[in-house]
Amino acid sequence: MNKDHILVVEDNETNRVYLNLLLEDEYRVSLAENGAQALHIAAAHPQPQLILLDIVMPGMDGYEVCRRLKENPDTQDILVIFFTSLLEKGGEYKGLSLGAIDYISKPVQPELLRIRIKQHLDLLHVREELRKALQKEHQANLAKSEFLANMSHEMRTPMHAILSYANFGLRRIDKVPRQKLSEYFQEIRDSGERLTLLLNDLLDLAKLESGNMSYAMEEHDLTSTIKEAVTEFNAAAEEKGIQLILKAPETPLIGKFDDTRIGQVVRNLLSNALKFTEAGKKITIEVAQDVLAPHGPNTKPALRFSIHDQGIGIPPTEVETIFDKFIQSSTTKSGAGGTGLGLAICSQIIQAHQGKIWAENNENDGATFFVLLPKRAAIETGK
Amino acid sequence: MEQKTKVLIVDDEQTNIKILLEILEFEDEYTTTSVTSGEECLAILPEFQPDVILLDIMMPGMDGYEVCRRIKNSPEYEATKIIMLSGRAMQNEIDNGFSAGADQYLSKPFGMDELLEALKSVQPCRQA
Repeated sequence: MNKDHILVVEDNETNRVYLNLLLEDEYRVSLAENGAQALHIAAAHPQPQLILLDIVMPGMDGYEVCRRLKENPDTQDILVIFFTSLLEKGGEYKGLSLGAIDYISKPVQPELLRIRIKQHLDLLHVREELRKALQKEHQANLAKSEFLANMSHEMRTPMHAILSYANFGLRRIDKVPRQKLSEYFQEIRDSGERLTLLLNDLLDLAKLESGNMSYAMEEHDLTSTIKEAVTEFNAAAEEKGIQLILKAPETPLIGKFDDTRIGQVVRNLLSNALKFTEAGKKITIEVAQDVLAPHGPNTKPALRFSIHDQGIGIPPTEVETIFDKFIQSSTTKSGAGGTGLGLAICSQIIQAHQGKIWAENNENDGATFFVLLPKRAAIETGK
Repeated sequence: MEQKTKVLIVDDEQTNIKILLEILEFEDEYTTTSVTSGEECLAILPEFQPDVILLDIMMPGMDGYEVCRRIKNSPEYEATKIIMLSGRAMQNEIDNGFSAGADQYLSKPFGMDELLEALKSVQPCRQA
């Protein structure tokens, strides 16, 4: 942990040396002989957290230095402690009202000085933590609001479709052929399904937030779990002119995992791959044996699957943040669906399996999502 | 013989396009075509020469406001009528729509009748 930086402003050399000796073990100390030097050092980076400020000095006195420090936005947040043998009446009030936070009388009692400094710096650190926590919460709130806005936006289209087609049917029931009416119903159903997917996402989110996802860990063949998911996407891929290639070993890859949830992860990754890839390209799904933490003491046998696409890839700054809640890739087209939750849910599921999930941009084009699952996870029940 | 009104639909969501087509194709008086982005909209103008544009606002790339402004600011197409369609109906967005030059503004979900009314109201010679 970095030492805090203290600036000592004292025109008397003996005192300066003494204070330096007193403080240099615990803190980084800078020294100034006069006001002008003090102001210069205070503004230069790395800035001091705290200034011990003598009052009686040739040239600018301590009060003037303090005034100027507080007037400058670059230095106004530095803690100022006056110390002086000057016993002028009202001096203490004057110093504190100029923005100093404490007042120590000379001759300085070393232990007293040290403890006062420590207390003030501790308080400063706590304030800094608080500020960071508030900022983090603010960001989280913004992300959540944006998520809600996205959700509503996503829901509006299928709702509009359901209402529109229902109205078409009602209005035109005697005016259009049966085939047409049947189409209307299909559209209503498709939109209903789309809404259901959204609601499922919401439900998953609620479970994620409350820590209530439960997992059924049983022995399964990972290859067949993945094959099942891939098969579901064959029609959609064909429609888009994208080739799905599955590379898996002949022998089963048995592991202990939640078949449904892992299937959900695969489907989610496939859905993304399809979304971000254009016609004529390939999506390759590979399943294989592997090892978790190969270089450490906790290495264990694992199963790996990866989904490699030739799509638009992930902006390098987003490679890690895409697994955060509510974050949608900046390259997502509006209306491409998705609520920013899919990858967060995947990440949660894989973590609960004590596995790893990550993404890498490919050398040529597109990205690959990797998942490593320990063969026998000693699962923490999602509590 | 009365010419059919040419309507250009601009929306990035296929679902929305299909709904609009379903409304319009039932009425005998419209010829329709659709595109899925603002850029495509501008590109198709010389070829299709629409009388009315049904313009979605929220689109990736150029948004509806921008498309509207460009069309209304161009001498060749400034007479084209523009009906803006939006998923939201907040006042400032409506105002933005009109200040971008929109002739009408509808918020989803809108009914068939609302759309047909709006179309009639922007065509000067064909008031209902």
